[in-house]
Amino acid sequence: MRTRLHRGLLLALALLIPAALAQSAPLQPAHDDEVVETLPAAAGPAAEQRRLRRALAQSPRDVQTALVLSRSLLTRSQVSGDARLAGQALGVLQPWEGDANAPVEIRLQRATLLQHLHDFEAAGAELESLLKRAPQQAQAWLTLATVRRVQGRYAESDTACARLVDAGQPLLARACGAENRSLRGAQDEARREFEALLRLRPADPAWAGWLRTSLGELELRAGRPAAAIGHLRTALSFDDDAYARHALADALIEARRPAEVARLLADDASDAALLRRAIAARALGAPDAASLRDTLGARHAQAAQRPQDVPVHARERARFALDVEGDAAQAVELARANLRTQREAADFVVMHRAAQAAGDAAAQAEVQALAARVGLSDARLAAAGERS
Amino acid sequence: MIRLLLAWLLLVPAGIAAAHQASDAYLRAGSDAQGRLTLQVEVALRDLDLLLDLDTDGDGQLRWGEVRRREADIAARLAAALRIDDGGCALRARPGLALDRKADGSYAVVAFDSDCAVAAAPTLAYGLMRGVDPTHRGLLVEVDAEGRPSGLLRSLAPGAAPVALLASASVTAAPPGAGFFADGLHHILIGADHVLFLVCLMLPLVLGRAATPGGGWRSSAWPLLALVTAFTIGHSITLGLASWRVLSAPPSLIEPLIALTIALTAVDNLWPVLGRRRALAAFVFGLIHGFGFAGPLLELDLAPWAMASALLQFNLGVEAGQLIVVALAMALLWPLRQGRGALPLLRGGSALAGVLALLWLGERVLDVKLLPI
Repeated sequence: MRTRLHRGLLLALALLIPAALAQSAPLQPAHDDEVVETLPAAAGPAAEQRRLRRALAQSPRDVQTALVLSRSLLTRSQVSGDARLAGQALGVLQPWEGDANAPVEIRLQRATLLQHLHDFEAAGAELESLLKRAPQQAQAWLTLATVRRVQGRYAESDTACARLVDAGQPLLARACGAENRSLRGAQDEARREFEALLRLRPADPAWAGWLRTSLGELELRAGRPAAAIGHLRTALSFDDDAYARHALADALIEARRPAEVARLLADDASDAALLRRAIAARALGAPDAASLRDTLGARHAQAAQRPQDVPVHARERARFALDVEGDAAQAVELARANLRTQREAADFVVMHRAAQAAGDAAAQAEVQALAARVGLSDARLAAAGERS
Repeated sequence: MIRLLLAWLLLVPAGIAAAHQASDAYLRAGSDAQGRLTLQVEVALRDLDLLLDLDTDGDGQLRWGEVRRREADIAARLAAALRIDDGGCALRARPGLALDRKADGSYAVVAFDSDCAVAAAPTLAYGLMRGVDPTHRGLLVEVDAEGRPSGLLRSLAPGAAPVALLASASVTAAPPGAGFFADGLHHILIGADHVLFLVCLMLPLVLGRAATPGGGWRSSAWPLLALVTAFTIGHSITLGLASWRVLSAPPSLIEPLIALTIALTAVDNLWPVLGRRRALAAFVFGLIHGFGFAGPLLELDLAPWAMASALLQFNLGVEAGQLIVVALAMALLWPLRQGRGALPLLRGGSALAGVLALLWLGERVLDVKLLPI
């Protein structure tokens, strides 16, 4: 109770006062041809989406049009890191909201979006409900396995992985299970399994890209950032994907090679990339360190105005507080709030590092206990303790 | 098949590149010099483009001319999405569309006037981006005459039930937080059950044998203070826990229990059994009443940080209301304490309170209405 009250007051001070809709003076541009906003990805997909949107306005319950538009919006949201597009993708599915008889693809798309928007509880519930009706839906089992893994519910994730065999995807089931064993600390066994799976389909770039990304993350958890960098670079050579790129940036930061981060992410303006660039710029003492910090700080401050139980993207905000602003106590609060809903290895690591930096023994014990309860084994949670 | 699955799978892991900023609009409700409602609305140009196709030449660049020429459409679309008093109060856009640059892009700023009095507590049904983006929120804040935020920020989902636009509607130019203080005060003063409980609790100390006949008011004041404090500590605990959603109790359980606390106190006034344990009983009864106080705060669905300040102000309001009740009752009963009517008044009053409480109990258990209050 006291800590809750304390946190409440801290957040009130931190958020309420500067962010209380502090208003700059509205302005009126002098010339009609002044560009006042750049719309995202104007060319190809946006024009196509406008066309689909008009078609949907005519018949909002057209399943195929709704799916094409919703998937295209989600893809753009994932590439650009723009949450508005994910919200709009969910909006396209609204005619089927609360409809238990909605087509399976619609429900799967809704679950995928909820997961993307970090509403893991709702995503898991939707997937479990649709899988009762369509137990052969492999993508749904795979997404459910991921959602439960992200929530730190490994046993449920294992169950979902195993069901991929019945759904006709035995190879995916093996990779899915290996990922969970690796999270529990069986790194050697999982590494062998991933490598065996790689040899099974050497010509498939999506398959290789995914497994190399998994191997890279495994090596990060094993405390071997140099090995992780190798795998993630290979993954990117197969498939230039934002997730692998950001994972590689994290590996480079852990390996203390910040100069390469700036090069890797130079063309990426998403918040996720900006965070890694700001961390690297600070480590390098680069001239753009202050501007990156201010840009990201302003975005966080604006996003934080919306009242929410768990601040949006609290993991990234915790890393920002810890590695860019150097405010370890604030980072502990944000990392703790984040762990209430999101429990990937990186979520534990940021809380652990923040607690250490803040000299907060209680928070260190708390994160270790939670990792033990979840079953996570990560070298960074132990090693960092010996490092300092 | 496996390729398709993987194409999706790679998109699955959490926290990929998602931007932190979802779609938010900013609303500032205030009043003009005549006490009429004003509303300033800031909406992202990106959201307006989605609703109104502002980018007429389709080049992906919004120019000021493209926005300015659609001023009337923008104002009409916003006015339609902001229904005041179920359409009973029309919003008039002030001419002069402006822009505000925020961290995530440019926002159109539209100021609306109206003819409806702030004192009449207008309500807002928020519907911007409805059917387009269910994750959109309107962030509503009340502002004072200088345009400074004077209330808490509230988050409105498109299509949700109407909300009161101004929490402190009757108090024009209210200082920050006056709304929740006033709510707390109001809550106890109109809560006949809380008032009756307090009066019942203090009756023996003023009129009964516990009050030393010759003693001054101090001999009653200290035990009275102890009782009221015990009650206050009790209800503050549960009010806090319930407001933060740590504990919850359904009104169907709490409301009858509150009636029961009055009945038990009245019975103890007639046949004293608690004696010195009365303070403990007041504490326990306070725990029950606290859940009853939490209702108005729970309805607001505030974020934890907002709840901290609201809770403090609301509780202070409750305490102030309590002091008023106790002071009034003291002032009325004190002259009577030495007369021959004191004991009959104590017994009669307690009996009446007990009967009333039992009737409430019946009403609340059986969900029927017998009494006018």
